[in-house]
Amino acid sequence: MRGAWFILILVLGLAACSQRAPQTPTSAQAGASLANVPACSGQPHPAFADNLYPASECKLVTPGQTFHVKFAGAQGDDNGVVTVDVLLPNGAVVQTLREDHVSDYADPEAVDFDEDGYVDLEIPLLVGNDNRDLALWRFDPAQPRFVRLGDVSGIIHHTRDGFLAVAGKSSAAEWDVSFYRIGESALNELITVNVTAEGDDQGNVTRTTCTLGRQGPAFASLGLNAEAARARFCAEPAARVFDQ
Amino acid sequence: MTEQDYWFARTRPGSPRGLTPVHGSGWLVIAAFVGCMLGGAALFGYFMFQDRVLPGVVLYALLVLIGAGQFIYFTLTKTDPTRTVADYRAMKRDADLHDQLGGRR
Repeated sequence: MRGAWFILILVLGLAACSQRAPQTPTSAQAGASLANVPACSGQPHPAFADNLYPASECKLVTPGQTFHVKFAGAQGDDNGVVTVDVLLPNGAVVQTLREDHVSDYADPEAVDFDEDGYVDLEIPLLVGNDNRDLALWRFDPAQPRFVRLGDVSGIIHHTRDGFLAVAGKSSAAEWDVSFYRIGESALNELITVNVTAEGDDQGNVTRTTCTLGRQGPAFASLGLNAEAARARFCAEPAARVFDQ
Repeated sequence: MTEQDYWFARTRPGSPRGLTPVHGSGWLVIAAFVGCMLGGAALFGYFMFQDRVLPGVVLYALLVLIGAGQFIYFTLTKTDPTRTVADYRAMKRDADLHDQLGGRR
């Protein structure tokens, strides 16, 4: 009788051990699961401030990674939620990025904004007529994962020195252009210049004025006085907003 | 360059619709604002009981100007333009985890 119990336990144990462990998705499975997901077009989605926006998704494919972007159903001012699954070529999800309080849906863009050779992500939070609020996620190859640097409002440019310039339109005749040094996990604020224009009755710009605005904590590291800073940053193409 | 160069952060991304202190100096600014308001009200009441309206009003207005002025100045110059309170909390969680794991700085 005791032998029968032993054999029964042994058989049950062997049966349990022989069960297959859950498998990570293969590339074929991942490909199949995202096969019907449309590619991100980079275009804004219909506004959801007053209307119920149904959940949707799209995919971004880069040489090394695939991003599965999901837009949650939303209605209201800034109730949108965007999540981005970062997938390896074998389909495994290695990280999920999440943005809450999203006011407008637009497809994220995979760009190397820090110019380090790795693709970074820009996730739109608000889409205006001139400005866009963007959450910047930098890929940190040392970790390796995406790190949220912060969010900026405006049009993104790069300077010759590798700084990030964000030109935000304040009014028809005024722009604020902020310059940042891109750090590993944050944008280090350098300086903001205010560019204003004067025009004639026909709307032609006759004179522009560029003045220094707020100085950030990283400005001191440049070792520039105010006049040198004005000459340097007002001459940047990003600050010549009325010349374009 | 550290995040503690800033005293306030936005509660939500995008427009600065709400600010929260992320540094002791930020809380000090708020305490100074509240202190100036309460102090101004107390002085106003004190002088009113003595039937001295003018010094009461002048001192109250002065303290309101000082309290509100310093609050507006520091929120304009010491607010992180790119990171929200959630970003600061996430950084603190990462730093705590780093310490718990015995990491060195």
